[in-house]
Amino acid sequence: MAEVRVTGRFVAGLSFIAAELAIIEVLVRTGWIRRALLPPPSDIARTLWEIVSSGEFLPPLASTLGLLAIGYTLSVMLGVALGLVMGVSRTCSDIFEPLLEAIRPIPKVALVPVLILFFGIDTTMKVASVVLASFFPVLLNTIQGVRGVEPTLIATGQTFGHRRLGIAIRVMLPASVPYILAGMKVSLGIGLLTTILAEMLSGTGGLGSLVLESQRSFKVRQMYSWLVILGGLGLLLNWAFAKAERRFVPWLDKYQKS
Amino acid sequence: MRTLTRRLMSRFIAGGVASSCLTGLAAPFVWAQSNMAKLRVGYVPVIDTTAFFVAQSQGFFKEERLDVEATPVLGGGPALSALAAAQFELAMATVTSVLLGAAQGFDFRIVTAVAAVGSGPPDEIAALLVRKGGGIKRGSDCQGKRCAVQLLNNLPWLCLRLWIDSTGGSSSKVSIVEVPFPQMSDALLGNRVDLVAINEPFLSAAIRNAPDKVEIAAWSISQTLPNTIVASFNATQEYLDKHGEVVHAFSRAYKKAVDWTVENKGNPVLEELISKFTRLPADQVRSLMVWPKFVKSVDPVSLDTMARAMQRYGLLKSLPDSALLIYDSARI
Amino acid sequence: MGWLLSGRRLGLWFVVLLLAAWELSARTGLVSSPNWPPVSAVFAALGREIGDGTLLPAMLGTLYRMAVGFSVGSIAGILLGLLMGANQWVRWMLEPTLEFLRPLPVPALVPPLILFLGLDDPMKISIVAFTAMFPVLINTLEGAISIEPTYRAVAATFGIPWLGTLCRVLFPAALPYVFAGLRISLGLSFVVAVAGEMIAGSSGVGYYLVSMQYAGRAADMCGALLLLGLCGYAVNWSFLCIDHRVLHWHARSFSE
Repeated sequence: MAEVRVTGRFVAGLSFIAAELAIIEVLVRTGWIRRALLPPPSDIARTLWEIVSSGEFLPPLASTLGLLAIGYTLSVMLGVALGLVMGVSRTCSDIFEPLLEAIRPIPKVALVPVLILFFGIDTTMKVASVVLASFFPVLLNTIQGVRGVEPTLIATGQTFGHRRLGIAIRVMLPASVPYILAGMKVSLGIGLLTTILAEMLSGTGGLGSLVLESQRSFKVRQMYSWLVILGGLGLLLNWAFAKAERRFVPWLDKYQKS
Repeated sequence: MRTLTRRLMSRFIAGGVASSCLTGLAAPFVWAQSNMAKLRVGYVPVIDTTAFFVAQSQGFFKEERLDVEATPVLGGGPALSALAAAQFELAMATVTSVLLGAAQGFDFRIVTAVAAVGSGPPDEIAALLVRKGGGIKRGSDCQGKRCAVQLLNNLPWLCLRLWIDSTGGSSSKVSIVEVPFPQMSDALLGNRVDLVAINEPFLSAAIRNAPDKVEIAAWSISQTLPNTIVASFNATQEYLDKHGEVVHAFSRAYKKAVDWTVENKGNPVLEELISKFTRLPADQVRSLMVWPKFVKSVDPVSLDTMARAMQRYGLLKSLPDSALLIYDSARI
Repeated sequence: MGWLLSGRRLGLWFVVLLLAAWELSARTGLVSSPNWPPVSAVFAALGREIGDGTLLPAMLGTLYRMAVGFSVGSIAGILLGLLMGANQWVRWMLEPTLEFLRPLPVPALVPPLILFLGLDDPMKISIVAFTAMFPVLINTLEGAISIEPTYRAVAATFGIPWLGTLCRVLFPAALPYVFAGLRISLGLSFVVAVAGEMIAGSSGVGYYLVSMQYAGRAADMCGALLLLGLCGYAVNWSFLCIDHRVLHWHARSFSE
């Protein structure tokens, strides 16, 4: 029965993708969509194959992944720590919330001039912008999760004689895990987005700068190919995230399907 | 039996709804490709575009019965892309971008010249700036150093490489990175880069800000590609086939504006105008070190020279037919 | 006196402290660069720009585009999220495509989109909608899946049809998650609306920011940034008010 489920899943997803691609191919070849703007998927596939088979895609991929890894790890650590503190302590939340709320809506793109001033144009600056942008979802979700912990659980913890720190770590943190995980998942996406954006703004290698460069040279097939590789990376990251989630927190409600 | 059919039915409906949602999101793509018929112009609000604004403010376009709707864009690249999307009828871009687009099958054509450089200052738009005492005077000094340009694979990058190679260096061994113009001064002074290819007004601003710390190593374009067209207004062949006379009218008005600009150099009226559309404070406009050269026609020979340089550095595979790319409104 | 230091006012003092540090560092030359103007100059510039009548219309335009994009994207996200949460087949069909589209960064999508939609409102609204859809979708889906299986079983026992289960059981139960998603989405919509204008715009606050930067007017740029921050704060605050009213039944506690 399990095998049927897995096959069903693959077939459903793949056939949908195949159908979409077929529709696009027809639209382009019959002239509904102009070739110069969107080449037929078959052409893009050919260019993509050239890039992949020559191994050309590996250095930029490594560069992007590295930047993302550092930035994401830092964001999560910072977001959970600060979120826990702000969720538990009213005072801390009062101190930091106005500042954070003011910074959040400002696109970090706009802060890049200041970041370049202090951090230069290299990896440090890019990591800083990634962390600035992507720690917010984790932070927000942690706060929301911590504040939503059922009072009964907290009372139980107090009954067991735990003090505030103990309750924070032993009761609130685990109880907020579903929220934190949702936040981490979003944060991964934002992290990748900011990484790409940072690469575009100071083009020193990486998938983002390659997409932009090919667009600027009007090499449309290359541009879409690099976009596909980028999408593939995203897919891979999310798959890895889901796998890790299942492995490390199997006790979540959603895995207890009857 | 009935529940099984119901289940299947609900699956179909669900699938159908989901697909239509996604298709709905894609609808704008197909719908938005219809052609519209106004003279909408995309320009970059830099000093190069002066003649365009002179034509606007002095009523030259009105005289030719043209209703020009001007939209500022932050770069020639997006402007050309919007041209391809038929959002503009005319778009301003560096000639390099136009050549790149044409090579990839876009039917861009040059309809008027916008800015050019002469054989040296003051007819120039950019310089190679270095730190005083940094020891960079020639291309050979760039070995192992970091250079910055605004955009890779475009005109400043091309000229930088030409300069390095023609003054004893080897440009393929030099590290060239991208830094936006407003940050170039900080990056240079902060020792993050050793040479910047910087345009006005940032050039004058950088020198004004730290006159004892920076100096000009060379003039970017006039020393490597003298007397070349740098930027132009462009249209698609598709539009020109249908509305060539509109473009000719535009070109006539534009040429009048170029004459007016050249005559009124140094006139405060001109400076106010430039200040208004570039948002640059008027006194900064006055103290610019170099100005672009405003010309009325595009010389195919200079286009060929640029194309050859582009081919040398891998930007173009084959040389374009310059005669084809220049529309007759851009010839003398 | 105690009132001055209590509650959120504490946070405001913190911000004031940081601003003072900024002013000092700029004036004393500790940080010397045209890109680091003193705070006083920034405020002066801000006053001038608003009086000029250039900044406010730009801001309003951006907000309008953001609102439209956010609404479209969120509604699509909620609908798709609920559908995918309710029906396994839909989820299997759409998941690969969506997972592929989701991480595509908006800046990377702007160039192809310009080719199709130009630089005007349709393009900017599209990228906001695209960005807004995904967090809402994920959170709604997460909420719909995390719902206690008991609720679904009860609904089935009562013979509630599929659509009814969707609207009356799944949606309310997923609401806290949906709102968490909406909150993230709102922030993202705002950022993307501005970022889109910065990359390839011709109007709006994002474009204003970059054109000020390129005109060498850093004080004006920072002034616009301040306004942007204020607006973002206001938008978020109004969202929180709605959030509290709708979700008052969701437990909230402080350890005081």
